[in-house]
Amino acid sequence: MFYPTKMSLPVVIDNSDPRYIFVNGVRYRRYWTHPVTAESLPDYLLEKILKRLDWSDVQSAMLVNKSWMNTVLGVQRWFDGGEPLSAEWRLNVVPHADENDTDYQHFKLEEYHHTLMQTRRQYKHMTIYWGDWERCLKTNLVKDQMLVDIIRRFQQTLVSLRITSGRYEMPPWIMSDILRMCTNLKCLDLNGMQAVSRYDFCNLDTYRTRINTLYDCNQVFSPNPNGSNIFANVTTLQVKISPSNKLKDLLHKLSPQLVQLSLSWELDKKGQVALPNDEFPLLETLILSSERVGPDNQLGRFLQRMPQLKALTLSPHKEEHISVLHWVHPDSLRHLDVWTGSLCPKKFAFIAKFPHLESLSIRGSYAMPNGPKKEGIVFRNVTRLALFGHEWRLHLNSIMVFFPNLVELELEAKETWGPADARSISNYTSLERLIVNEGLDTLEAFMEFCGELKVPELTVTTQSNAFVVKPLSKPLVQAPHIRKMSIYAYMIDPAIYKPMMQLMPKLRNLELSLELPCDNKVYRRIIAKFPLCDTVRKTYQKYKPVFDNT
Amino acid sequence: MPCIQLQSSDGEIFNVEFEIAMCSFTIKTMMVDLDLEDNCEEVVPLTNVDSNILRKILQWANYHKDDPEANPEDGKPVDRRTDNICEWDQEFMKVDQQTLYGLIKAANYLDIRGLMALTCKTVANMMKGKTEEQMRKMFNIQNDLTPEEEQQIRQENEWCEEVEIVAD
Repeated sequence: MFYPTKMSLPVVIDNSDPRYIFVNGVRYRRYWTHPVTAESLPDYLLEKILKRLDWSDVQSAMLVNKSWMNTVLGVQRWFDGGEPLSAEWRLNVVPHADENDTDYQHFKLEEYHHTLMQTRRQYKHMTIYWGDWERCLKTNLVKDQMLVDIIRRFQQTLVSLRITSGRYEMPPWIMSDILRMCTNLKCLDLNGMQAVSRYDFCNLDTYRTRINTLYDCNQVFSPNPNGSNIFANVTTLQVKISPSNKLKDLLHKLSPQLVQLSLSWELDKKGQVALPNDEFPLLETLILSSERVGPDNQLGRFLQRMPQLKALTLSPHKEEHISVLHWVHPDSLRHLDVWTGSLCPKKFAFIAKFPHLESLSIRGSYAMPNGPKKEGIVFRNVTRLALFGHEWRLHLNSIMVFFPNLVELELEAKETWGPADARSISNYTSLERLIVNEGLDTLEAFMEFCGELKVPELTVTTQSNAFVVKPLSKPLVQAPHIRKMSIYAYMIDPAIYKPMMQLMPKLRNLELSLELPCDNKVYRRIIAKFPLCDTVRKTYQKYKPVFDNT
Repeated sequence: MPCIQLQSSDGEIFNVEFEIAMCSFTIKTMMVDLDLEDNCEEVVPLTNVDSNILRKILQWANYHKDDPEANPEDGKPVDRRTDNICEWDQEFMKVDQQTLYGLIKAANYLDIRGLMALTCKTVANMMKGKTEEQMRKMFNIQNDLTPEEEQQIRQENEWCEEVEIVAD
């Protein structure tokens, strides 16, 4: 950078050649003298621009020319320690089309191998389908070697790895190899793996991986409890307890360090679960995902050993009991996701025992016989409430009394959303975000609902198409309050966008997360037609509320 | 109001209020480093910024002088929102491409964070929803990728998806 001295510097342009200037009588070449074009923008500036684009636009930008491709791939960035744009991509190696079509698998894997061996990209996240080549011309050995080659190619950068094995039983030496070569691996997801013979990684016992998140519901690992250090850094664990493998050693070893635990189980012959007897001093999040049966005392004592528990997802009980909440330390809990069946006053009182609750999900409230009447209960800190089940409609107004400070509300419906729903929802004046699950019909009905809605942010989720396309029976209603809308759906008919967006004059933000993405032509038309609204296409993924890990 | 004199690369001198010039971290650092803060006679030469661009920048800085100071972006995930451009800025950004890129470079050189964000958002908005061919045309860029390279990019893109940022 050019710093001036304390003297005043007269700058004079060289009249004979405007590319030069005189400073104090010395001739300098000017920093840039030709018209500035996009091409002359330095990489680091182009990168700043590209960082603001969506994934689909970044994909197009890569194809513009070599220097843009390099900028997107951030070839330089890997060396100077920065994060390139491509760092947040996940590579899916899925050489699997049809289980019977084994030659296709082989051909496909060769293609992956060939392309990835010469790629300049450095992936951090990877999903691999391992698969079985029993009926293939090439042996499993060939396939294993090729896949290990691919992993080795990214061994320095790989941070998260998800392995699905199909029916294939991966030999232990491969797993051991992977763990040894991917020294930066932090997250290992083996939930898609089949493991009949378990891996006792004796040869890894003294080796300490950096893995902090392990998903292993299929019990791929059963490390030696006395010596094993391979999971010394694990803080997030997802496992399953079964009668044949109670994971006592693993949980005993990890319990002092765990922060998050997801637990499922299989009942033994007596209908019992062998829950660990260890203390969990640091555990903040517990997610239970198998059905509870019988008396909950054992589970209660298990919960009692978690003094720091902040978030609890309680799985449903066969007889819909939630009395186990009685065992949980009342002061630390902030988030509760509970399956109540019906929400009677007694159960409501159990939930009310947690004074610092900030978010609450109540599931399966198919019947609220008396409604949650309980004098004096007010959840002042709860800002997020989710009600799953279909009977909340009758009680929405009475529930409101208990939650005066809601910011976000999530509801589910089987029938179509109507203006009456919107009116009762709008009674919650503090509400900023509404999430509705299912219950979408025609755009006409939906706009009637939106018209009465005073909540500025609306998220719509559905498994199927976002709207049923039908001829209009009357003009569409305007939705004057909606500022942001997110849609999670299979697809949206292209004819929906224009009428919908036209009638949302305040809409500034539209997020589309569609399984069948809105195609470029339609997308461009939307952008051109509604320049005030920032329309974003996101990679499809199912809508995930704060607590839905089941 | 104390002033400072800024000289553009083509020699024009601008009398700028202190407060306005301070939106540029580069100038701010210079002033502090060189102890120019109470010396209005000094002319600060900006050899990388020509008078057209500098005039635009001062216009912008004048309008935004009361904005809260932006924090450095380094290390934080970039805010992908590009819709939050106020109307004055939208009007201000109605310039030809050459000026736009000039502004980006100058904003970067002078380290004016607000203007940097604004110009980047504007260019990003121009690129949204465009195919590679349309982008090339818009920015007047020649394609120098070989068909094989193109094929490789397309194929790998097909295998990729964007992930939510995983906690380390």
